Amino acid sequence: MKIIYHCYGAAHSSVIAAAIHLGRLPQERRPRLREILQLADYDQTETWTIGTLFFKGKDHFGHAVYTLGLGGEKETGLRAIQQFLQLLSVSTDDLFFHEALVHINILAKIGGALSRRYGWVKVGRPLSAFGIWLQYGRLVRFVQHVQELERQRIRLLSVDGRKE
Amino acid sequence: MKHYIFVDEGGGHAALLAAAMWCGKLPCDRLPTEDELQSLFSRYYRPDPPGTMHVLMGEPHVVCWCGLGKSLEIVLRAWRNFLHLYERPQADVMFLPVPSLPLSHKEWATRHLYRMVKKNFQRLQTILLCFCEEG
Repeated sequence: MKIIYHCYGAAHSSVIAAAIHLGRLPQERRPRLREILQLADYDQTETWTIGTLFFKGKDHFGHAVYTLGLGGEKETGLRAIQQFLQLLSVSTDDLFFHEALVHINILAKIGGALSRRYGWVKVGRPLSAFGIWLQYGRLVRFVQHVQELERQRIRLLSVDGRKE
Repeated sequence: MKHYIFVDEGGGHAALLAAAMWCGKLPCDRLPTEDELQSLFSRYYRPDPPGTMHVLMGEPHVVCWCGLGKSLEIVLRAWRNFLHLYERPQADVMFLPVPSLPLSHKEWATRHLYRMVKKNFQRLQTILLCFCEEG
């Protein structure tokens, strides 16, 4: 199974979601701002890397977790990727896309844009981290929902496996 | 089987034109007539949302066209990455970006299309020639 968190540039929301998923950020408490800023991949991608798939690690089920930036037209990107894989007869049954961008607030988005798009890193990076910190609980609930879906899929696969 | 995917930054008109020239559904050596263009577009063009892949020819190679709007660069990069993710050889797929025709959705079926093709035909020919040279 491949779990892909996607957002605009794979720099903020998807990175945090992947970090929560992989246990690099806590689920049971709100981390310090410093913990967010100290993530090696937080606020690091460049505009020219949008569309690149970043492998973040394997979760406790052994499933690969990725982040992906799809720019401003995510529907086009997702459709193009899925249809491309169908064209190549690649089974996409193990591929799961989850949008992380909708789970952060406007502060995080403004901070992210200031840092990545306009190069105001000193202002944008802490502002985006602060925005994420404010709504951290929402991101945790989102990741927990993804993990619950993951568990359901595992159960379904094992039931299907037994039937066969 | 090799896949040739023609893409543009618009609704796919230019991608379809180039793909049709590539696989012989339109002449490459002369400007197509208005009837030839109308017939091509009425037969193959679908105003689907950007990112929808259309197969123009399945044998001996797969030839496709796709309009990608503003996401062209991003999608091309993502496609390459997904090829790598699924361990498919990069050489199996050739992505052929062509400059889009400045058309709005309503204009594709009108005479405006022919005017645009006339204006851009040499450019398309040159691009196709470059693709041929690149292999």
